Amino acid sequence: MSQLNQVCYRGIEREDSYTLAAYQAIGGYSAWRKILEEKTDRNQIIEVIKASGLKGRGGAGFSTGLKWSFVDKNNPKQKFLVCNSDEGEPGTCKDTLILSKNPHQLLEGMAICAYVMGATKAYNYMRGEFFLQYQRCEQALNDAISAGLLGKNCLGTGVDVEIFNILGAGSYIVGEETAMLESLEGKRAQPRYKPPFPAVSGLYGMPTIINNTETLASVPVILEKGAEWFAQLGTKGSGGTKIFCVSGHVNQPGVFEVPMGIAFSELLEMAGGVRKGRKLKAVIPGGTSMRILSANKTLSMRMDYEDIAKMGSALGSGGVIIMDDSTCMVQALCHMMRFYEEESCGQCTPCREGSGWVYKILKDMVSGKARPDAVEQLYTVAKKIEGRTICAFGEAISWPVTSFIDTFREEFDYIVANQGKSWVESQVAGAHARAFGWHAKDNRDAS
Amino acid sequence: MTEQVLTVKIDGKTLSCKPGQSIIEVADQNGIFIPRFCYHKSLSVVASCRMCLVEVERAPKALPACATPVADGMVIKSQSKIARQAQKAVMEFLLINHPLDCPICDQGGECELQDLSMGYGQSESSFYQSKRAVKDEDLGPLIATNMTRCIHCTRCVRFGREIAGTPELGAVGRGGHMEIGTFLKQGVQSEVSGNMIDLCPVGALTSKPFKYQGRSWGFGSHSHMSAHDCLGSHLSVHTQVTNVGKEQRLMRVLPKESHHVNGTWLSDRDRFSYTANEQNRILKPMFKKQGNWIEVSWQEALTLAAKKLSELKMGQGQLLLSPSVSTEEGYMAMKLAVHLGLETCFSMLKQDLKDQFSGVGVSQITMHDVKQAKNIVMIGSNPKVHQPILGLAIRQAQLAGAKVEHLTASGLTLNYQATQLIAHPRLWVNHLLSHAQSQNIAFEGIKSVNTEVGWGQVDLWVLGEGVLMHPQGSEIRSLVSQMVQATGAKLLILTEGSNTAGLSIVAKELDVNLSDRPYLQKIGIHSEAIWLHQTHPEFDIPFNETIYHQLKKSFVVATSSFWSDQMKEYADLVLPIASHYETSGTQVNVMGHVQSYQAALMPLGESRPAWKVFKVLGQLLGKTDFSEIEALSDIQQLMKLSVLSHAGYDYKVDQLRPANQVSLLNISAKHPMACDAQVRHAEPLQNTMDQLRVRISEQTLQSLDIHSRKTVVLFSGAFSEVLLDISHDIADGCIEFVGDYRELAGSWLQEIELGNGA
Amino acid sequence: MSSQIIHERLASAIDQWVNKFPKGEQKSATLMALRLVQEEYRWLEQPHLDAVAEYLKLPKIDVYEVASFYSMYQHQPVGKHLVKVCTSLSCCLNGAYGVVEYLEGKLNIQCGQTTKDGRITLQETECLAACAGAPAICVDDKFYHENVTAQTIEKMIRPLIEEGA
Ligand SMILES: Cc1cc2nc3c(=O)[nH]c(=O)nc-3n(C[C@H](O)[C@H](O)[C@H](O)COP(=O)(O)O)c2cc1C
Ligand code: SF4
Ligand code: FES
Ligand code: FES
Repeated sequence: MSQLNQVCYRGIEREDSYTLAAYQAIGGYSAWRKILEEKTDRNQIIEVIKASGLKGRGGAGFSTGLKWSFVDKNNPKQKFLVCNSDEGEPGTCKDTLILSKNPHQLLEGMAICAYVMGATKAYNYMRGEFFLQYQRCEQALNDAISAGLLGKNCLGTGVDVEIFNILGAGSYIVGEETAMLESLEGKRAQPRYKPPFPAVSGLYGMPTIINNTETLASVPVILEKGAEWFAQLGTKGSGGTKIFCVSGHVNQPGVFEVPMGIAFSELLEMAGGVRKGRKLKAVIPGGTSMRILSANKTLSMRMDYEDIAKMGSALGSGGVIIMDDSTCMVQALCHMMRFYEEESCGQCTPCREGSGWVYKILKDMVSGKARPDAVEQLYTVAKKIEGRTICAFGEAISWPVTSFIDTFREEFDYIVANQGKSWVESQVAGAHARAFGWHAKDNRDAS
Repeated sequence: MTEQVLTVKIDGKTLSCKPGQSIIEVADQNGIFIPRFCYHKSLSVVASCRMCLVEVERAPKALPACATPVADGMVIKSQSKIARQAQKAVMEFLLINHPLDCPICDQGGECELQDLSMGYGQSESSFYQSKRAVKDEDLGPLIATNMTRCIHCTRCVRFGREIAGTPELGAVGRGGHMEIGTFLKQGVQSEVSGNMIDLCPVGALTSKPFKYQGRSWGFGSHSHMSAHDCLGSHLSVHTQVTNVGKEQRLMRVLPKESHHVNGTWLSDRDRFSYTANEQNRILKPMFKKQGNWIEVSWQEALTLAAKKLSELKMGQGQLLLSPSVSTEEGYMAMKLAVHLGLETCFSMLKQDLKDQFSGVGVSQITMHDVKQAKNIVMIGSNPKVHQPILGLAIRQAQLAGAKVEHLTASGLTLNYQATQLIAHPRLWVNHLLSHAQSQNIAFEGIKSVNTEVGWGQVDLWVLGEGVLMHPQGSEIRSLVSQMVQATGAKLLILTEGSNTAGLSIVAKELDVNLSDRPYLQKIGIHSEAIWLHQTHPEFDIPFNETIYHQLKKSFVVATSSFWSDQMKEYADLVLPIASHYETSGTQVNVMGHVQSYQAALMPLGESRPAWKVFKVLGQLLGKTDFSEIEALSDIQQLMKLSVLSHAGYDYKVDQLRPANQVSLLNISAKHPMACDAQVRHAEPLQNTMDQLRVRISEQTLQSLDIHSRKTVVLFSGAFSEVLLDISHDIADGCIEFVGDYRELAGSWLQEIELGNGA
Repeated sequence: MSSQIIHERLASAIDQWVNKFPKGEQKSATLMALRLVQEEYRWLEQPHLDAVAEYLKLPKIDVYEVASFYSMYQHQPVGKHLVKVCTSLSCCLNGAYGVVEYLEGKLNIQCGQTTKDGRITLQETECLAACAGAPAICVDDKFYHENVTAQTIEKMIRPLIEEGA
């Protein structure tokens, strides 16, 4: 079995893992101290991060080292670092644990990144409900400042890194990086058109880097243990570890920090396998914005950027949603699209109008009011959104819809032909159309 | 350094362009049309409607032309399959929630959505679900809304934020539930709100006065000029021939783009004053016989006028001329006045004319200079309400980094960032002196003073209404103009009406007897006859009982377009005159910009262009030089507007007069919505005003021993009870009217008395 | 006006957030100012929004735009406690609608409504980032309850109903 929790979750099994003492006991802040002492050249750090193969863990998977190199350190303007702790992608619940159990490692990672880009101010933007996580981060921040590690004149070296913990107010789109900048400016979280990119004009129009929580929390360990060590944990194109959140129809849902490239089957096993001995039907491997995969595609799939892409989806945020054979795909998609209809920011036409249209068609299907050509229509509407919006939210509507239809076409045709009657209900024993009947023991093999 | 030039290809045409330009800008410059909704050249780019998607070679997906900067060698296809598919998809999305009510929509025929849907839409949408319905808001008397038609382009929102500086509309809610509105369901307050009607590409925001008035395709369009402030915005006036007979009607007024004045914008006052054109007009010559008005023929009326005027002794009569009439009619009127020996006055506000300031040639400045200024000091000026287009220019300068400072007697609600020095008008001269001292500028024979102002090196001075009506106006103008000469700064002295400059030029030309006595005193001397041209003293000058009685006593000839209630009492003979929009002529704005315009429609009823009336009157009076004038162009030849560039202002004040000590000073300027008869009769504009209140400081109330908190009683000719607005934001010893104070207009910078109310 | 709504304690709480942002960028504190005001008054009415605008020296519409965008702001009267059940995919797959139905029965209200005694408002919410603990509930936008069962729900709502009585 692969080794768990080597990077972002290291040490979290300790009850007091979030304290400064516990963190320093496992070598925490040593990378940051070393940088402050040696005044390490920033390019050297960037090279290490590049060599480690670390890619953005927020969803897009962009090389972190490369992103850092886009900001001109010598630009005299105020520069900013923003940590994206919004964790809004349905199916994803990994950053929350870093914030509550290992906040110092995130702060250290932020400090290092801020140092590299020459930012003296950094914001850690957490979603509004992360109140307890926020308190942990505030405590950690205050302790680190008291210890002289953060704030003005860190360890007397003249380096300033002021970090501020921020809370949102309920919005999925705020997780999109430029929407987050708008939100930090106290506005509606409406994504900006790029170019200009944040590295040139970001928060308050100043050069800004935005990284995900997991990305930044990985940095101290990489610098401590070396790029080589990190890279070899994973596969050729996907260095290091990744936190996967396995949820849905499994017996022991959970978050697992495992080496990249681990077999999907192993991950599923870690989560206790499909519930009640039911059959695996489908997997969304990277949060609900990614394409769905049928069970057979996942049999031999490895969990890294390349292999999941080869199967036709993406690693995304690492939110792995497992569905068993009792799941009605039309119902499931309808649910997902309610989310996207609800969360579209509304500024660009294809997303604003398309998200509502898609959801309307799906509701019609489920309630038996759909026209005969509804499946075709749903597909073309989704296709018309793709690639035509300001931000990737358009794809987050289009990809699920088209992949659900491509993979489970017969269920869509069936529900339209049978006035809202679900295919699984008629075909699968024990399946409930809403599939959402609840009682703990209904859902899982009690362990 | 030569500017870098890039080459791109759009739809097969090779074009050169500058770095930083967007694809759509380059396309527009070269006459290639790319569809768009959210993009507007005067607003920021948001790239949200997605209508302008085009194919760019080597880009993985279609890109928005409005937000994609050109790069050298870029190959752009706006008509390719990829581009057309994207544009069609966007159009379909826009239409699914858009009502199909084009036949009853006021925007019909000039709707950008309707136009584009012809080219990019499909005849039948596959959307069959129910459409979104959006509740309408009442945005006030000027803008009609139908928000279900809104396509969320946010042009109106950006206009409010970026151009007007009065963010009132916003996007409320999110996703498909996002609506454009004020959230509060309250009207918009901006002085330039009508521009949102022009900006709205669909029929969501339309003109309320214009609602259901007609379809634009039958309209005739005429270039004209506005006559309500000293900038004179350029207009496109739309008229329609009605079915009955051949009669024309004014349908609406839109801005006409002009670089040196209004750009693409227009103030609400200039846009909606046309609605007055058929209100309360004088349609026939009328004569008051034993207290009763009777209709008379033009022939009789003119003969009577000539008789009355020719009986006058030298210096026994007066001509009161609106500062907003065309130069041509002003020329003719003053020529007559010279012949008849009448004293002439076309300044309604000035109290102090010691420097003979006329408004000509002083402001050697352009709109561009204003926008480029870096440190602006404005004295007694509130352009946001009095010259809204200038307000926008100052805002533009401020956004570009200019520091703006106001010297004012009461706090102004501005649409740009500025510091305000609130001081009693009698202290203004002192402030100027101390500024001069800080800049090491000395004035011959004038002692320096010890107050602090931190204006620094000023590069633009603007003197507004507060200086025009200031009892020490000469001092202020003189000191500022001397500093301007010493420092090379620019100076803009704002004037009354729309044509003070033009009238001043011809007054000089004709050697008109312009007295240096303020208007108020002037009308007080016993005149045997008073000739009012396009003026109503009860609104246009500081008015009181004495003046009223004087008017009643004199023989009053009114050459005017509009009636007023009081005019019926004090006038004796009225001659109907073509309204501004029915008049051809020339105006000179405060920046020296000369502009001619043609009448947009025939004069209503029996009214006639003023210059023709004056010509006949001249002839009847036996003045041969009037017979030679056959056409407007003959007057234009005589006017010699070329003197403009030579005129200057070189008055040097040598001795400062002490400021008047009054116990309570009314600092209200003439109400912007009462500036002239045309505006006063425009109902939609009149309906924009809030309730009348009087603003005063706590300190002042106490010093007057007034203990009421809700209202005060005001003595200005008559008693009236007025709501109180106690404010820290006004200099002690001053009061100011806010809201609807049209009736109380004529007491600016005059003493006023208050007593206890409720 | 604003001083009545944003009293001293609230003002100093807001100022702490204002101070997290660069000078002159007090607009950035809008989100938290609204939240703090909401915590004080439970839901936001126009005077509250205007008070925030006035306090932060912003045009009112800026505050309205923000208040109407983020889903945590309540614009209708709500109870003393907010019980929000996640009904996004992972929670649904684990019976989130059963949870909603159970709570509806238990509290004798429909989702979206407030109990008669004004103590609890029941709402649906989107993914809370607790998917591995589905079904999940968030109370008062702060406190998470995961893997909820009939028993844990009982335990969860009892103090909400009884506390301070
Ligand atoms: C609709 C949408 C939602 C997103 N939500 C999140 C999120 O909740 N958390 C996150 O870290 N990134 C999110 N992202 C990705 C961010 O835009 C951005 O790519 C990321 O924060 C960059 O950090 P990284 O390079 O470290 O991954 C989202 C993107 C989109 C388009
Ligand atoms: S794609 Fe959707 S979420 Fe993204 S900017 Fe456009 S409307 Fe907003
Ligand atoms: S015009 Fe370019 S996106 Fe709207
Ligand atoms: S789906 Fe419910 S917490 Fe994520």
